[in-house]
Amino acid sequence: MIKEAVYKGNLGTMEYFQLIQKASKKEEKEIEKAVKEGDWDTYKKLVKKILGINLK
Amino acid sequence: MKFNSYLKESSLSRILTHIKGNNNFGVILFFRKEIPDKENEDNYKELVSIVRSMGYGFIPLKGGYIGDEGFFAEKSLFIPNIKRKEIIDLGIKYNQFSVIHKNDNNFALIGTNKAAGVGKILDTFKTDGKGIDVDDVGDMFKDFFSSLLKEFHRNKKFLFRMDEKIETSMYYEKKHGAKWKNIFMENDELDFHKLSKFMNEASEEQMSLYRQYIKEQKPKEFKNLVESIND
Repeated sequence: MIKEAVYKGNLGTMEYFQLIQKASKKEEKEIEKAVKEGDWDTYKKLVKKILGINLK
Repeated sequence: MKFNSYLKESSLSRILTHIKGNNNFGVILFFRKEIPDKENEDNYKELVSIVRSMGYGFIPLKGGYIGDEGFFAEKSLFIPNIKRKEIIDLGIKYNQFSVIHKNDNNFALIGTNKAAGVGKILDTFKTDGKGIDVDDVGDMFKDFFSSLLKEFHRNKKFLFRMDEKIETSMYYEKKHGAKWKNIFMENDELDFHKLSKFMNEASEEQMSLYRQYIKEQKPKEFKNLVESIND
């Protein structure tokens, strides 16, 4: 697993795969909702909660 | 892909001319996990010397995956003009699982030990070089290395990168070790806004592919899918 994303406003594709695969059904819906709404802040919080990665 | 002008002059473009042309070439990866690093290194040097004595030039490459423990890379030689039997014999001599070779008949991954089946075609690659450009070579090498490393990296799919060896003086290499320069790095970035647009506009069929690519961990196909809706 890549430890830290170093680009702002972007995410790693493999990180995204891991995020979806590790998320519970409820979390997966929250992720999809955040992505659909373009809600980067909520998305970042979910990434931190599920993968422990701090996005910029 | 993140390429700069340097790459146009690098081994990627030299390799491309061989892939597109009619000449034979072979790729031998050098790695045996059951023997110590020092022995692997000595064997690699011996292989280089043998290839030279056979009268062939070569391009030393190092490819592998960036994962939990950093860049896990294996050395390989890209050898233009080598004959199929010759590269198979080298694979057998160094007990490699397989080698890659392109000739007039095919462009294939070929077994070189008992487990793989000596001389057995294990996989084939696209043979028509038309339409391939330098930006594709990194991806092609990802396929090569993935095939060659299959035995060692089952189910591991991290970011792929490839380095080429920079020629230095023997004195430099003895004192500082070999010098490698990164020439290809898989671009893993996914634009959040593009993903957002995709999620809002994707058809059911596209969403089905989206889930399939996540399940099968296919980053390239996934990115192409997301970007198709943003074009």
